[in-house]
Amino acid sequence: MTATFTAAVPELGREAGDAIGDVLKRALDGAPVAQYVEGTPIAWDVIRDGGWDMLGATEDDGGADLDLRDLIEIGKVVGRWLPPIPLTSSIMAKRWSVAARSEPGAVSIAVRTPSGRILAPFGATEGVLLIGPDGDLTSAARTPDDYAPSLRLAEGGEPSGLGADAAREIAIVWAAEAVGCAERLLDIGVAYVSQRQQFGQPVGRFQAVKHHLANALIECQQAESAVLWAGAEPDRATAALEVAFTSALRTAELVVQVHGGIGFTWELGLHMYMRHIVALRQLSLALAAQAEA
Amino acid sequence: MVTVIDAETRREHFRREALEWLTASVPSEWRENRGALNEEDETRLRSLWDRLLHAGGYAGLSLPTEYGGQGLGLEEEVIFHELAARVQAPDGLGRIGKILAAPTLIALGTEQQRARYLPKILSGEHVWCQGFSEPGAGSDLASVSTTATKTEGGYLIRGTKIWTSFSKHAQKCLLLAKTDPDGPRHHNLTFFLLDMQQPGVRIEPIRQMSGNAHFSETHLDDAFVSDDDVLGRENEGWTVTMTVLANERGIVEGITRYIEIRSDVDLLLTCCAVGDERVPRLDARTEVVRWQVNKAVAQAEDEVQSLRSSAVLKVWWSELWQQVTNLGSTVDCSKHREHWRHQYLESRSSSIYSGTSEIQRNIVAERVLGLPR
Repeated sequence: MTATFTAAVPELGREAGDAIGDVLKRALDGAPVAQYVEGTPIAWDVIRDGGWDMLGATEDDGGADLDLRDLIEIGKVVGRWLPPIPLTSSIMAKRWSVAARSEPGAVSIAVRTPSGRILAPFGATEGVLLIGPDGDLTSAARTPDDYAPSLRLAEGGEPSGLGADAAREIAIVWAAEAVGCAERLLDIGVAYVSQRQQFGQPVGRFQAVKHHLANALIECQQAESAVLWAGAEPDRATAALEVAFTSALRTAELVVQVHGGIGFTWELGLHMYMRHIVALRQLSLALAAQAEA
Repeated sequence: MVTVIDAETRREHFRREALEWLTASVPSEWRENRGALNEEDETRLRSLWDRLLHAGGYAGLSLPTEYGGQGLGLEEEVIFHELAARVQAPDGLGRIGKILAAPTLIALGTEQQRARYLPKILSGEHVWCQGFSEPGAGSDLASVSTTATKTEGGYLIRGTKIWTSFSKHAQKCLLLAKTDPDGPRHHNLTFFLLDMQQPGVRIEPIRQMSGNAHFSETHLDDAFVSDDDVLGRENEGWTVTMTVLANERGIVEGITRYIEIRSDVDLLLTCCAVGDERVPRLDARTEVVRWQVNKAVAQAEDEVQSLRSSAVLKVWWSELWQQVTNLGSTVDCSKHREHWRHQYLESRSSSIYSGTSEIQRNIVAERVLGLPR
């Protein structure tokens, strides 16, 4: 795996990413993120009918045969759009679990955090099943954790039974999703400071603001590089993903900062990306550590 | 059946052969006495290394074969520099010639200039230096005030260049000088290939804060440069300079620095700061530098992406190295105290040369993110 894992964006991953990006754009573009992540803007049928949840399964299993490097590109696209459905979880569940592949609906993954909580992303999708401890699918009752509306984590039950490779790959694709959030925030920050006027000029003309966003880009690029490193060197995945999440969040912090007061409002919704990264960090790092144990 | 050797296999093969060659070729005198050599011996061995590279077929790896290069890609260039840093091979004196002068001559030089200079750059016969910065023109490079005045058959150069590495050893200098004192900014400079070995050139070493003297001030007092040694068109030297600075030197430098930072971090991990919880974080961030290099190689073809990955790489490795040496200087290791004291001071330069961290951030903000100027 290490020999073929390269930094270059793979053809298949790029094309699939563009395609799924179009689907998400059609459903979500134009609506404010703070509104749509709390609603039900995209039905699971759209995902199922397009076969998007089968991107990571082999062709023999009816999938599109994307490998981990491709799936990193998919994770980034999902992070850019923040659809409130368990999309990457389902793609990865169906890549690794026979039981999940036989289920047309969404299948998610339950993770045990270091403090012993069992958390799984459900999104706004009805009837999400989970990979159970023995690999079968379960639908245990859960207590919602509302911190990240885009993920709608719920607590309870048993952690999904996953092999080390599966756990690590899922951790990596979730980190790629955090990179996508950071990339989207950077675009939002650049657009904002280019039009926001103070002292008679766009604030983006001030070097102090420029350097914040330059640093945001540097962090964002590092987060992506760290995810690639995690993919190429399984032994170092935890260390790499820690860097990825730290850098992705640093990007988010800087983008909030250059927005001034409006960046701190619920309505603008920058916090939705931030919440998403913070929540995924907990799940991803816990899975990575589990894979290394 | 036709055997298809893919790029991956070819590179693996290159890596193996290069490592074998490097291991066998690094002079034992260098290997055994590195750090304790006097200046004369150091210069002799670095110059010898340029010749060995040429004889071994490793000079100008990514330059086209018709100009005496090896016709390989940036990937091989990165592999070779990584391995060379690993086996602690000497840094030749011909670096500026190979990395800056040769690609620029190939892109913009006349056939005559290429024929005259390229073979000697590759063979290690000619050492080149770079005459861009001046006491009054640092980050604002376009404001150089060294003048080139037309005379019969060429120009007379007057002015002072600064931070000139390799000037003591150089035969030639990539020189930027003002040819039209009244011309508009960016259209008033000309790019010259100056002979360093002439009476009008005087070198004055600059002692740095670390105690080393890698740089000089170069005083030019009616130094002569012939018409044949104008690179590009008169008054269009700024465009040439941009070509010089835009080539992929940042990637090769990035991988070389990665190995150096790696060895400093390894020193912390295995000797000076065992168990210190700050070190694993620096260790991880060092490995990310390597992946930033890989990404830069993959994105080298696209102008904006390549600008982005190079600027990110420069800021990241230079500031990371400073964090590593900061930590090293606080741990008080009895075996490596002098090393860290020296590295701490030496690493201050990394966020200043080749475009300060501030200039890199301006580049990122204005030319990559497109923020208003």
